[in-house]
Amino acid sequence: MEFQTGFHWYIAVYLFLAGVGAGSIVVASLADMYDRQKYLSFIKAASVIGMPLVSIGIFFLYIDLGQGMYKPWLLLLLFVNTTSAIMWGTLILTIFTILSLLYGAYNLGILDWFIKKAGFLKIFKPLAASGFMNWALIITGILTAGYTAVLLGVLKAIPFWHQTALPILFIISASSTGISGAMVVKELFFKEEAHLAKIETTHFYLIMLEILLLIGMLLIALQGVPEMKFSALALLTGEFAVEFWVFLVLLGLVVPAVVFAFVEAGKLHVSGGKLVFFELLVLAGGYFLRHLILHAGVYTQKFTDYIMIHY
Amino acid sequence: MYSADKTKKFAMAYIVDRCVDCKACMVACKAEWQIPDNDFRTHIDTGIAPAATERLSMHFLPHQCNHCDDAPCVTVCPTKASHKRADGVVDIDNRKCVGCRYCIPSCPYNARFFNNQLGVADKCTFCLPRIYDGLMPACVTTCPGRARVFGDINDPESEISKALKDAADNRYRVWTLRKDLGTEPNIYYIQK
Amino acid sequence: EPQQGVTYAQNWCEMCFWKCGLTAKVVDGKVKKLEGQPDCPSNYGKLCAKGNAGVFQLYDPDRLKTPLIRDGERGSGKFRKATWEEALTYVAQKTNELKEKYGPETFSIFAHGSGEHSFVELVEIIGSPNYCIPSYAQCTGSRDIGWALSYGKAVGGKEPVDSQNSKCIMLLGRNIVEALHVGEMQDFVEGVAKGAHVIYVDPRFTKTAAKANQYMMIKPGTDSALLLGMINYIIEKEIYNKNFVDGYTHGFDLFKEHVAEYTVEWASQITEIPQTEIIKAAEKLCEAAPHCYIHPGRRLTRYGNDTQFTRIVACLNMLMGNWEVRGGIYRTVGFKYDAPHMVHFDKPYADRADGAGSEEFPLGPKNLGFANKLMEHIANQDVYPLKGMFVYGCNPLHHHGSTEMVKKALENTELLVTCEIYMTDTAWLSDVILPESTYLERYDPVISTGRRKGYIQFREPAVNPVFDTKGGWEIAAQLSAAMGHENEFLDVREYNRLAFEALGITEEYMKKHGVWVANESTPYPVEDGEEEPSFRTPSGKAEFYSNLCEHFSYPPMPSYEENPVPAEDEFRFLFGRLSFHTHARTQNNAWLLALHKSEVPLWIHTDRAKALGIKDGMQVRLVKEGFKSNPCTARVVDYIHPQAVFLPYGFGHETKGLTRITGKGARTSDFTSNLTDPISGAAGFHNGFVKLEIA
Ligand SMILES: Nc1nc2c(c(=O)[nH]1)N[C@H]1C(S)=C(S)[C@@H](COP(=O)(O)OP(=O)(O)OC[C@H]3O[C@@H](n4cnc5c(=O)[nH]c(N)nc54)[C@H](O)[C@@H]3O)O[C@H]1N2
Ligand SMILES: Nc1nc2c(c(=O)[nH]1)N[C@H]1C(S)=C(S)[C@@H](COP(=O)(O)OP(=O)(O)OC[C@H]3O[C@@H](n4cnc5c(=O)[nH]c(N)nc54)[C@H](O)[C@@H]3O)O[C@H]1N2
Ligand code: SF4
Ligand code: SF4
Ligand code: SF4
Ligand code: SF4
Ligand code: SF4
Ligand SMILES: [Mo]
Repeated sequence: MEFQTGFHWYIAVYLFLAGVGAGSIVVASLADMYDRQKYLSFIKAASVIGMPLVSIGIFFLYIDLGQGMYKPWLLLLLFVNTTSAIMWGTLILTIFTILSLLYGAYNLGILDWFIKKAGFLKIFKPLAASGFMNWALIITGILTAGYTAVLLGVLKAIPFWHQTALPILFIISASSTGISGAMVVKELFFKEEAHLAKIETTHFYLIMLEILLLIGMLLIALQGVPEMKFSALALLTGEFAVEFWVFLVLLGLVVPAVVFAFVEAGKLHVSGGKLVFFELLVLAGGYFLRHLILHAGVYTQKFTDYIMIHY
Repeated sequence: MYSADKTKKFAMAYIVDRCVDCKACMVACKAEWQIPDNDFRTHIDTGIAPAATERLSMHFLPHQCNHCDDAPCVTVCPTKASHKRADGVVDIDNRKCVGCRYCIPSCPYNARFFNNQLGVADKCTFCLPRIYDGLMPACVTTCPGRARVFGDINDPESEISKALKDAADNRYRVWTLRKDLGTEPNIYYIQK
Repeated sequence: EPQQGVTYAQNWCEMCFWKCGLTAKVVDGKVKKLEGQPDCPSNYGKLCAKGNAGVFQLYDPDRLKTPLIRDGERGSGKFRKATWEEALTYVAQKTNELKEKYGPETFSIFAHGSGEHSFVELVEIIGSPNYCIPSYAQCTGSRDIGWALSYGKAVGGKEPVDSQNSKCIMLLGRNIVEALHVGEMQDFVEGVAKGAHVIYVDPRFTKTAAKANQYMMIKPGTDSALLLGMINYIIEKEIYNKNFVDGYTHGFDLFKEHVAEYTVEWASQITEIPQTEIIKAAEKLCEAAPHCYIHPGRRLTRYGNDTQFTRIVACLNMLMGNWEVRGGIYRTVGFKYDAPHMVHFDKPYADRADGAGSEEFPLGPKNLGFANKLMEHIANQDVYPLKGMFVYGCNPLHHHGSTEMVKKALENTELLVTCEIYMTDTAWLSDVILPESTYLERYDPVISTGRRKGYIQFREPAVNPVFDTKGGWEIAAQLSAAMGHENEFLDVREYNRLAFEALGITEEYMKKHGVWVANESTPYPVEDGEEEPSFRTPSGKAEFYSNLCEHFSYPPMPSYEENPVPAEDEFRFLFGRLSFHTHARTQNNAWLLALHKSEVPLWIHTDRAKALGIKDGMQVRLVKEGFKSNPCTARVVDYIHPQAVFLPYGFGHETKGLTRITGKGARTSDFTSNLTDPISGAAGFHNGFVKLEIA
């Protein structure tokens, strides 16, 4: 069987960053609707990374484009084919980026600063502060995170990607890593006393859910068509086993899950540098999840009638 | 460039028994289209069936872009650089291709690769415009086994139509790759 | 002159020795594409992978770009660039010194390729008889002698087997699909498509085996037993072609008696092939007779007794009565014309050092020589001093049965001049390297070729030399002049003009078509009733009992000879061709390397691999008497005889000048045997025994 080689780590970075950015904003928006004041430090932290990470992600996509640097005008063509997931994604990401830019600017007080310079900008302020904005961000954020999986999921050619569980997994992972990203920023830059227990609890359950989904997805893949099985085995025991078990499973999921479980149970208190460390582990895991799923993709077999040996 | 002739539908057939895995087609194509590095627009796979028995058999199975009627690469290409022409050829317009690579994993036949020299996706073009100059595709021209047959299946007098008819008359096995995927490929495999 | 737009130039391919006719497409002064000439009977419009990769070779930055003179220890790879004048004067001066000191016969030349005669004739002008074309002693020598003993003429370089019309084809390690020559392979594929029954015998399942109806995994080195068993069966059952055997052969009764002991049962035991398979093969051949053949083989330099093996092949063919009939052995259609001479010279006077044509090897052709024996005498300096060596278009360090012998010979050489296009292992050790223009950059004298038709082929440059190189004839002529010889070489274009005149064709015609079919008389004169079978043997018949063998005290009828076998922990070292490389010359070609991702496969049987802990894809080394090869990639398969390992010929280059492939894989000549066939004098390579180790 042949591993796909069209998409490589640049794309994994893109998927990852878009996920973290979108995830952090979605969680922040939810928190905003729930109790803005209580979660303000988190919301601000999410605002710092939300739009920028998505943009950096897009930048990775951009430098991966064979022609992006030389013929930037071709980017306009990204919108012309309605059947292409890239077209959907470009649209969603564009909307999400604009919204989250506005939202972030508002949260961080940058919008006010601009309004001082250019008064007419004040028309954006009610929008940025509105519940509509929160809903719009939640929806486009989930779409963004989901899109990073749909991009892969629509491809019949790679059975391992062509699974319904994939978007769900990616959305959960995006939320989880989004929280981690925001937490790291909060710990570093918005040191004000905050009570984020709810978010931490949510984070713990998201990680547990992610573990369960991953197990489920692999179990299904193992029972699936030979190509899926091959991909799953490539992760579990094959080419990618070391990265899978060490970086994704152990460091990216199990260690954080155990630590957060102790925190939940009140047996442990982590904050400051330690918290940053564990959140970074979650983030690394989030990257490896995408990296590995991307690389473990194998093409559907062309010749089903023969046992293939590629020379 | 030659515009597409609507009356034609180009297709290829491999007479599998005649392929000897000499790989002349791969190199001829590489030369004709200056394909960089380690890439090729067409490949030969070796099918060994069954893996180990008393009576071993080995088949050589060429493959390249199938010029699908319902081509996933065309569906997913955001810029419409990948497009299906009226003459059946699935072509890439290099001027439009942004090099997003999306079409590459979209192709169930792994027929595409990224051309690092040009920064665009690349694959078999059925040798456009060569075929409008009255020549056969480079791979067909060179094939020492005469395993490759090319032409317009709308024309009953074309070599490919004759080969397919001959196969039908003689009840040879004729198949296309992965019919189950609904891609409607235009490369036929013929085996006695 | 480089021209704008698209032009075409005619040529024949020089990527191997089959000489497929081709047309080069030149766009804006650069060769873009090579395509077969549709009318050339060598290839009918087709080129193989190597032929197509000729474009890469032309522009390969690894090519030799200027003359080089050694400027350091031999093997240090230190050379200084020289002008042509400097290099030629240097060679001429050194040559004259050596000639003075040791006599003219001190020079030898090993030459192979379209330009081989240029340097051969130069060495003859110098006055030495020691010229060798390695494709005799290392390749088809035994086969051609064995065939000639039986039929009165050699097989020839374009094997006259009529596969396209054949009903049954038997190949014994003639890997016609991978060790390919386009025309011969085309015929074979046609025959297969028409339903010929193909019997393929090889210790490993090759791509030719893939096309066979019957594949026999033979124990290596036992082919004689298989054929003798079949012969015995065919004679016992009286299913041979009585008409032919009675009318046109000599010594059948003695032969019948002679093979009586070789039963099928016996053959089966020796070859490890089931009796039923042996019988089936015999019957299939006889059913198809006379439209069938048993291939005489190509590189028949296996066990040092290959002349007698070919005799057995010939005898089995005689039983089929397939002489000059469709589907059997056709008559090569040649033609004669008053070909001009490039140069005139007196024949040399000394005896050849290698013994070709001497009392010891009366059948050894003096015009081809024994590349293996001559090298031995240079290494041992035991005949007369052999101190000067020329090498043209071949690579003794790879093509010889023993690298050690060649290295020893080179140590004894005071002047080694190599005319090459690449920095080969041999060039690397040379004193002077003369870079030749490749076939796409030079004229060569027209050649005449014979297959089912007789034809003339034409070569003209497609582009000016890309680097500072010259054609072989020009180099030889200038060297000869620099040495002070008065013999005038013709200019190649002048030669061609005279040849066209003699042929009655025009240069314009050749420029347009590249090939001219001169003789279309029937290749099947016997079947077409035009002639009775006739043979230039002493008896005038095809000889089961060879009168010449008797005359020279060789066994007149072939017997089974046992070959040594490897020890338990050793393997017999087999080697051969990949479809997409030629010998040791194309391994550095990036387009061809890409076909196998630069990996050098070493075939080994699953069970033997398991015992050694070798897994498919692992890096392994060949080991012989403490010498270890570079790593190769294990290809663990069920379909090679457990006693053998197989490696493609042409890897393991030591030179630093082949940048993409230096040091990759093993060099076959480091592991082969170096036997000599007692009749033909040709080499025997397959008694090399090796061990394996994980790298
Ligand atoms: N160990 C081992 N030895 C063998 C064999 C084997 O399989 N294994 N096979 C045997 C057989 S069958 C044969 S025919 C011989 C072949 O033996 P060689 O004739 O030595 O074969 P090549 O390796 O093709 O060497 C040809 C050389 O010519 C150079 N060349 C190519 N084009 C030109 C040109 O235009 N001009 C000049 N001057 N040089 C050029 C190439 O770079 C190359 O180095 O080897 C025999 N010896
Ligand atoms: N692609 C390509 N084609 C070529 C060449 C090339 O370099 N590359 N070179 C050309 C030249 S000069 C020559 S001489 C020919 C050589 O043509 P062949 O003689 O057909 O080729 P080899 O590859 O030398 O050996 C053929 C087979 O002999 C098998 N063999 C080894 N030992 C035994 C044995 O004891 N019994 C039997 N029955 N089989 C055995 C090996 O497994 C191998 O598959 O190829 C020609 N064609
Ligand atoms: S050129 Fe023809 S015979 Fe050779 S590998 Fe290609 S399809 Fe097969
Ligand atoms: S084979 Fe692949 S590249 Fe060719 S048309 Fe079909 S999907 Fe597109
Ligand atoms: S790489 Fe080019 S052809 Fe392929 S999907 Fe992107 S724009 Fe279309
Ligand atoms: S049709 Fe042309 S482009 Fe396609 S594989 Fe053949 S030679 Fe290459
Ligand atoms: S068989 Fe291949 S390498 Fe040899 S002359 Fe023909 S095209 Fe060239
Ligand atoms: Mo040879």
